[in-house]
Amino acid sequence: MRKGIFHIAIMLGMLLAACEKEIAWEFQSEDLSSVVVDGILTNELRQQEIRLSFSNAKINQALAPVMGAAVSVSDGNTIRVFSESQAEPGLYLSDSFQVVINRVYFLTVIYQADTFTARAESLPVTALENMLIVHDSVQHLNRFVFQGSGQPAMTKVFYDWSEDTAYCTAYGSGRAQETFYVLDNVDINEIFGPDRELIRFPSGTQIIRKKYSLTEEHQEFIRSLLMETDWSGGIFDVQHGNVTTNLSNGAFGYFAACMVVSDTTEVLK
Amino acid sequence: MLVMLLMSGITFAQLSKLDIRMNGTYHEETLANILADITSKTGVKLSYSSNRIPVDTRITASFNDEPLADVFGQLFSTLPVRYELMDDYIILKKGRAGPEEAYREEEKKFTLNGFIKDNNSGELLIGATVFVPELELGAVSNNYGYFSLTLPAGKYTLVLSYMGYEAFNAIINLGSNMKSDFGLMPALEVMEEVVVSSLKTEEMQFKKVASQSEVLPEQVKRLPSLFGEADVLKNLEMQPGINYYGEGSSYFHVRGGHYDQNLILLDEATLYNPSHMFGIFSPVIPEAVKSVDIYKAGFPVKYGGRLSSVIDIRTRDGNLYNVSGSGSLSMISGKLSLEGPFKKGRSSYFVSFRRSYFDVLLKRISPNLKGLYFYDFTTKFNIRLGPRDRLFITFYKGEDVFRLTQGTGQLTGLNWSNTSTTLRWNHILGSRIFLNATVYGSKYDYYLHTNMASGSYWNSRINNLSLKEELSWFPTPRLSCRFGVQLGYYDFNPGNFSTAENRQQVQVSPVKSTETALYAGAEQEVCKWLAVHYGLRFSTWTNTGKAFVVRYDEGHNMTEIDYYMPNQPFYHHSGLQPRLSLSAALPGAAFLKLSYSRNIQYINLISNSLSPFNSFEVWLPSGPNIDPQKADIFDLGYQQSFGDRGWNLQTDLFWKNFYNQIGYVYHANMLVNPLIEGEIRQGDGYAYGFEMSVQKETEKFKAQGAYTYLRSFLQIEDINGGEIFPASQDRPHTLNMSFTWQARPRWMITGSARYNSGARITTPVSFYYYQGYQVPLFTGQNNDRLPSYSRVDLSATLKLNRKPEQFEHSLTFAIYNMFGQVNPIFLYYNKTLEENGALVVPSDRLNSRELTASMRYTFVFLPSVTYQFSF
Repeated sequence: MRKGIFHIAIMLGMLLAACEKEIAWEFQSEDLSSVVVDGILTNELRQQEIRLSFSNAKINQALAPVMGAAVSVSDGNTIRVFSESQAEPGLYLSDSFQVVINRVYFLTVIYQADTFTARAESLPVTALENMLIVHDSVQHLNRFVFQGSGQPAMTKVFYDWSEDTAYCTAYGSGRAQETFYVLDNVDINEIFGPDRELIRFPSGTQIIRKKYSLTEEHQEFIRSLLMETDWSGGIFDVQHGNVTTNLSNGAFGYFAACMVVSDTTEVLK
Repeated sequence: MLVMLLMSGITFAQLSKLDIRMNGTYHEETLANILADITSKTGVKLSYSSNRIPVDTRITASFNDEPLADVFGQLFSTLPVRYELMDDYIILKKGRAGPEEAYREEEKKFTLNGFIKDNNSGELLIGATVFVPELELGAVSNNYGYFSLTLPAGKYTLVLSYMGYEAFNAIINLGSNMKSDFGLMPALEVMEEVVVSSLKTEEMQFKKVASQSEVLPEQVKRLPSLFGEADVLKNLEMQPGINYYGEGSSYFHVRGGHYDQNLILLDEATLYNPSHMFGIFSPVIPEAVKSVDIYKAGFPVKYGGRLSSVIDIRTRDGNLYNVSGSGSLSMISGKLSLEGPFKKGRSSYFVSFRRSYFDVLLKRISPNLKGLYFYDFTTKFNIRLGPRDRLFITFYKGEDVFRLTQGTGQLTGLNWSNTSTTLRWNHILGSRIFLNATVYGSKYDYYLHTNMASGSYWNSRINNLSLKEELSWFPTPRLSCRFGVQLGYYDFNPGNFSTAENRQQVQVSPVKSTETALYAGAEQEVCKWLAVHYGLRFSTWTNTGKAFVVRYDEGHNMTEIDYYMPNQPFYHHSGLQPRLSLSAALPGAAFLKLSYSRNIQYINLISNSLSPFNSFEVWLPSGPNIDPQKADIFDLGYQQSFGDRGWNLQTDLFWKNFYNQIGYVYHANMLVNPLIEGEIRQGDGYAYGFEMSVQKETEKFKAQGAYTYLRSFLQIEDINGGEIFPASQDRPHTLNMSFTWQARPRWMITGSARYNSGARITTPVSFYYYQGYQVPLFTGQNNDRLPSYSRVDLSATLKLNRKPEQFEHSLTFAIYNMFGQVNPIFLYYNKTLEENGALVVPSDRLNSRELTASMRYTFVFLPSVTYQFSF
């Protein structure tokens, strides 16, 4: 169903090709300084990361880190304390550990007089799909085509072309990352979503794919996140509202625990 | 003019049968023979049954150049015979006439009834006025062109008038009940804009309910339009209190109500989605339309089912006398209308067809495009079964088709269609009783084909079949009553995905519903300066199986699913809807109007889309999880005509209380969701405002302007934290202006301008970062507003004929949005500006891009040329 709809959407987009232009818009900014939690624990054995920041009053303002918070994660048996990174304020790092499948993890963040908590469960993840890379013989660049289907999942695709200095200069960076999703729902504004930036990469790029399991609650969070970001800006936008969260006490963001499978591919020259 | 006079003469002759004089001497002659002699001498057709009147009675009488009225008076003075005029006949009936009653002739009242029609085409005219200056009494023809007026016996002047027609005076000698049809001549072309509303007939306006207005199809044809496609429904935006959702939208809000609260009727059948090309065009072309009545308050008791407005569109009956036609070629479509008699004066047809042709061009650009077009087909048959009976059959179908072959060869597509059928029977039960019986059906069907070869599609549908019977009773000129019953059957498919393998599998339960409405109302002139419309409508709604109903707890969490067998009722609601409208005539052709209506709405358009474009419409009935929407509507209006100077002023103050309004949880999942009703929240709201419109008419120039001040608010559970918030249709200021100017005999210039406050939108007050996304934060629903909307359109029509001919043709040059005003329909804040100027959503989550606000807009400076012809 999705594929058919997608092609129709392209045509409809042409038909309703309304013009779009930049506008200087005065947002009714409010300095809410809400605490935002951004943390995905995985089954990768490493230092797990949780990032804490404040919301910004204005668009494009630099990330404002929450410093001096006490962060810990418990699985009911073990409490793991996260320490604030000296190099990167607002980033809290644990000792090396990995999440275990089907286990529930509890996050506690204490910042000044406020305590924020969240709960996350790690579910199994299915295998990665076949990879499809399309080569553009005119631009001599490649493009990753997401082939996801089946069980709900989030796939992060990391590109590393740092050895290609010419393309680093052209792109402005040696690395990039995009995220793809498979969700249970079909949404109109996903189907009729806006044009997205196309990340093209040169041959020789190393691609790392990481596929994350999703709980139903995490899916719901991602769906609302996409409705306010990637899917917003089409011709069938829906009513806006705050992205859901599993954080308590007025914090935003999401705390997740996911099983991950990954692979690494180098695009042949 | 000559034709007009001749036709007027014919009408007058019909009225004067009783004035025809005759001579005759009869001695002991049977009544049958005398009547036969009257027919042979006067040519007057007499109709009677020999079994019912004493035709064998022998009579001796002599008449010397005496009018038939006196002849009958003498003949029937001692006999139980009375007579009535009926079109070409004088009908003799068994009756009470006796010597005593004959003496009281002057005190008796008789009824004049009939139809008012266009003299050229026989088209029945709705809302035409019949006024008797001597008594300062009158009547207005109903939706079927019928009127009934009961007056004391006597000789009167009748003044008949109708918008765009020459006023017509007739003298009648009312000595018995009479049925007579009247024909009005269309005003000459130059004069067409002049509403012939002089004389005291203007005072008849005070019989109309508050906030009732009309759209004239002829005026719609003249005003500039998008791509030169004259559009009746889009023209509603020139009415005060009506705002379209956005540019290119067929959704409109009336006085702060939601866009699903407008009842659009095409010959009494409902049009559920009046749009083509996602709403850029509407399916109602002016060539097919006879009249459009708009009710925004003071709803007549016969209407129900929507809260905010009724748009009652009547299609043309077809020319009863001559074959005629019209057509046009615009940049988008071609259309042709044809009408004429089957049997002159007795039956007629009307057919119109429009099809877009831009697919011809687009197919060349995109070979994979297999179809992209829309069409409308409207046909109507009008059959006069006899002097008392008329039958009308209307069929309408409009469809949008879009087919695309994908790279894999798979054919996919979209199509949606509106179909409606009406079978209407008008019967004059007596001189004062009029019956209208209508069977009508409507269907709206939406398909999203994901693979046409394998039969995979998403479908949403609503259809209904209804029966309406209405009796109009006109006991006195100052009182008319209406009694009706309406039975409707509805079938809802709220959106299911189906493949060849799982054709019977249902994700969202279909529902069948029945609606019953009983109503009674009256229009009464209490005194010369006060008219009252009052009535009561009682409606019931019942949902039946086969269906399943998902039950929710107070937190809107699913608790259980109940299954119902076919025809098993599982939901019932009934309610009373009182209606009251007062109209007071003030000195100086001014009127004060006050109205109250309660409306109940049982069917709901379920969509959380912000888009002005329509798609994936899902209709759901009220049921265990959705309470019926209700509204109390108050209106206070003031109208004044400055007849001599051609000015008309109308103002209205209104207040609306809404109940059980529909909202959606944030990020509700509306497509193929079995728990769709769990995404709905309900609450109350209110709207208030002020409207003012001014019209100026001269012989060659007509202008009108309207201003609306409007506020609309809602309070719905789980939205905006349960606090009151402005509705998206909350637009304080709207200003419309239009003019029509006959600049030269062959040149007509028209123009329109519009300004309104922008639609309410929700914008972020803050942002945060998450996984490389910059996520907006909101603190209030509809806290912001799009920039104001403004547009100026201009058109010039050149008549290509130098002198009047049978075949007339013209060219219209138009510019839509001539000053190129950019009117946003969306505001975005999640895109980044690429080097090539494209605005795209960033994909790279490592290298954050700077986001910018952007807006989407449509239709800036669109010139068009349209060729029109008629014969």
